[in-house]
Amino acid sequence: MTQVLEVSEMSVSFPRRSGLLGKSQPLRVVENVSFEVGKGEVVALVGESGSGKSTIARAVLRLLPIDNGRITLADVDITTLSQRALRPHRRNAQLVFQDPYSSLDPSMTAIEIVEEPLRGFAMSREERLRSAQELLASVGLAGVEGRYPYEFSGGQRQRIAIARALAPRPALIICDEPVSALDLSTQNQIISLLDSLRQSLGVSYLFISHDLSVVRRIADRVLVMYAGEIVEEGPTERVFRDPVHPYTLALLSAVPAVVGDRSKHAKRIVLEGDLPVPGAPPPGCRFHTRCPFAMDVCRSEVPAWTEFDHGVSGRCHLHTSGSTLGFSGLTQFAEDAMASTDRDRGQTSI
Amino acid sequence: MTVVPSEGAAGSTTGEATFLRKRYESPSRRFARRLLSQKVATASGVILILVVLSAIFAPLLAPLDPNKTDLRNTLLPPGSADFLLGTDYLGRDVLSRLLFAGRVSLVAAVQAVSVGLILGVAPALVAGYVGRWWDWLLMRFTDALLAFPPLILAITVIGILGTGLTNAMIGVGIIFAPRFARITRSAVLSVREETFVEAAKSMGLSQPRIIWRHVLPHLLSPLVVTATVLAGMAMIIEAGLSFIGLGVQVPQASWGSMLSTAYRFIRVSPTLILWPGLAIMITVLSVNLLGDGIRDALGREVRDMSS
Amino acid sequence: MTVQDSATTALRVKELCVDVATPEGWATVVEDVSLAVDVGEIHGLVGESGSGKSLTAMAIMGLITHSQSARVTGGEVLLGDVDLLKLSNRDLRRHQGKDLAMVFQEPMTSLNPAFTVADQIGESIRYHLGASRKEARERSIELLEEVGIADARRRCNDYPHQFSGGMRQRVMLAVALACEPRLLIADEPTTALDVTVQAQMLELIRSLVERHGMAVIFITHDLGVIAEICDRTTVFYAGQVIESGLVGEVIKGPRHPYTEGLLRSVPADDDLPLWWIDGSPPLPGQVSSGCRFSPRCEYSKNECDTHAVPLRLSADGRAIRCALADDLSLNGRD
Repeated sequence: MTQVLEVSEMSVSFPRRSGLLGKSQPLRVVENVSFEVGKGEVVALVGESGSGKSTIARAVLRLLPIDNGRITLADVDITTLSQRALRPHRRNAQLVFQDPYSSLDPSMTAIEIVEEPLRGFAMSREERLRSAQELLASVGLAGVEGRYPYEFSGGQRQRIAIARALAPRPALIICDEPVSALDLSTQNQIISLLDSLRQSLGVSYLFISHDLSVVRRIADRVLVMYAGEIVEEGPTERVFRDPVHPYTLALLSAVPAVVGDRSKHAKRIVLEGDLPVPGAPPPGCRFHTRCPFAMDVCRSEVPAWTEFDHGVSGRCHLHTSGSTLGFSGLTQFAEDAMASTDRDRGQTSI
Repeated sequence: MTVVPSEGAAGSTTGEATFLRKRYESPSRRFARRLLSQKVATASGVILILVVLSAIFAPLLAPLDPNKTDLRNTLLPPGSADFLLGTDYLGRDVLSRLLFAGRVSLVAAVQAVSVGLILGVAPALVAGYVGRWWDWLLMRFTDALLAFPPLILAITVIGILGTGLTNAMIGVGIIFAPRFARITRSAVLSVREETFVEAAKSMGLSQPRIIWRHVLPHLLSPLVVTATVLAGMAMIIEAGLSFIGLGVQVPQASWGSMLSTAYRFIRVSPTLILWPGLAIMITVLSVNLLGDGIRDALGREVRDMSS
Repeated sequence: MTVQDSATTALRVKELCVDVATPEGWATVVEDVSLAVDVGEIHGLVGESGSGKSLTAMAIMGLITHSQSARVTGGEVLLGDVDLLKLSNRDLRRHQGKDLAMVFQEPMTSLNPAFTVADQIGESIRYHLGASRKEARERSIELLEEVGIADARRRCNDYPHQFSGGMRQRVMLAVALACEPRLLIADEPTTALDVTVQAQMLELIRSLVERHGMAVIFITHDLGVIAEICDRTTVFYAGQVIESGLVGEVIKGPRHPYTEGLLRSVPADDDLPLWWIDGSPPLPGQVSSGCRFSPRCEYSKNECDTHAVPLRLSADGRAIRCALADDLSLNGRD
């Protein structure tokens, strides 16, 4: 087994009823998405809220129905399994949620929370409790097993959630914004914990985040989502250095940098407007309504998925339709922006 | 497993004793500690226990036979010799009748609430969790029941099952069921959306397990509160039914029936109406206050608001 | 704290103390906090959750005067010459929403879903300035245009749910700006937003401050945001101010080990290993008598644990609460 999770051409819709007697009109929020997560690999899914990241997380776990596509989890095709038949396979993929406050049942103690997923296993209660205790210790929470969630800080709660996810020895953990509700210092602790658990247990992560500085620290590979589509994919370092898609560039430049000297602020691309309404993407390239480089072709033709020399793939006309502002032009723009200091705030809207 | 960054125990400044107590305190002990720390609730609990005990031991506590008439001593004021709270229009001892009537009223309340809980909670739990047409059907049915005036429905049930207090209280329980159902359903709907329920699903837990372990405990506190409020209401409805002669049968007394007979002599002996009225008020009030206390003691932990 | 006895100081907070209710009784969670915010200045309050920065803001807004879970136990909040803490409820309301305005973190819950955005912006204009319905509506449209809502004349009749998260936060800004407040408190206004939308919002806030010249208290836990938008910053730890000064100076040369730790926690572009401050902040009511940061401080000496450390003012207008400040050379960011 080399791939822990394989998703091919998956689409997901939400039902939407228009009016009192209107027909149910499905709203497509994830369109034709394919990706895989290898054993021990960390794959990050980044994008704005509403881009479909969390929907993908729930759909691959079959917590949401999918329109079409195929999901293979730990070499088992789970696409069409009934919920009952699926239950034993669920242990292979576990979820860690964003909000460590609502994801733990407030009426259970830490050890009960971690012990619960072990119930399906052929273990005595004693064995389960001992195992849960070890798991809590492995996430740095020894000696506090009998406490209730409210007695823990946000970071400690997230540790409990991680211990719970690890309990059934899954091949894959899907982390849905696992650190975005935490303080920066705590974020770093949790990221470091996740990283060391991956090294010791060989578990894979599908890591969902809108925060690129976090993604950079942990992910091997990045998938960039925009309006329900994957627009760019590649090894983390390369995507960060040479992004193919202007949207990735905008995401990268939007992260506020901590600099003491205002003049050193990088010039940034401030995207105008919002994501398109789900279910009604604009024609052509879905990003053209906000893209600073949009050309005529972008408004009419859907850009093809293209693989580039440096191992990054993406869909953008800039690199394929003979534009003067090709791939090198994009990175050149970024460099120019960094160097330019014509306004003291160092920002620009284009 | 590997060495992982430790966050350090947040409670390292907490004393060892509190630490151990927190670590080993069972949920029921915690509940008891938190309930007892509330003065009003504890006092209400004590009063309620006294009321229950006085009803149980009524034969021992009552100075006279509650049904023995004495036509030479009718409508005596409180403080008369041998009759601490006076006598009624047939010369029966009011204190003795009050103690025995408590038995009837308390049993009536428990019966009505139990019937309501049994009929209301289970279907609503399933309806709320499963949803779809089950939910729709149950809610329309409860709407229909709720539209009935309680007394009319109770009278209908008595008409079908025959007179008697238990039958009347079954009727009242049927009236209560939709209230329990609504509370249960709305609590299930909100708990169902909690992330920890989604987490339980994604772990592959079975539905009965999720309902039992993750949904039901969170229904406890709204249900306890509803039950106490309705227990008070049951006594008042019982009083109403006895008032029109459909509840308890003569010569037996309930607080409600005492109230109704006293009403006729309000000009001659105004204190007569006071005793059953006070008994109902004190019992209902302590049940409600205890219910509040139970809710707070069971309630979800308050999130730390300092940030 | 910084002494600025000029007429340009919009808000001055002196030795503010706030208690919150815990199961063990009242615990002080904001202790002797002093601040001064100039007209046209953006003052950033930064600290971990639970550090007391939000409670400080709520106390300034007069939002915890009659709460059962928190109470102000001392200090002054001077808006001009008026001590807001001494006002009656009635008088306080005259300032709230007019001279004082607040933008909250949650753009979903801080607007009323039952009213159109024009109604909500116009409400305070009518209440405080006595404008007619029509005037209020016209002003609402102007404000929506000002915060960058396209087609404001049509969209002012929309309800909050018809706006995206970022747009709702813009509407919140329009509500806050309606009566030209002298002080705007922004409590983590961009934390719930995507980075791309956050970038838009920060730029907008900056330009609004330049145009209207109000004083702003900006609460955040993100030092990147502080660096980007604020002029001055005050760092909170466990309910106390531990350092304050001009943003550039604090970031380039922190003088408190906690500030240094916060700065080091920010991911840099280079591949330095991840850094964090070990341990967690003390719980309310469980603070030690000495320096509160000492248990987590890598420079801590014995003397730190025994004596309470006063906030000291240095000649260059910085304030530091560290007994070792003069002996340490801490690293900042350029």
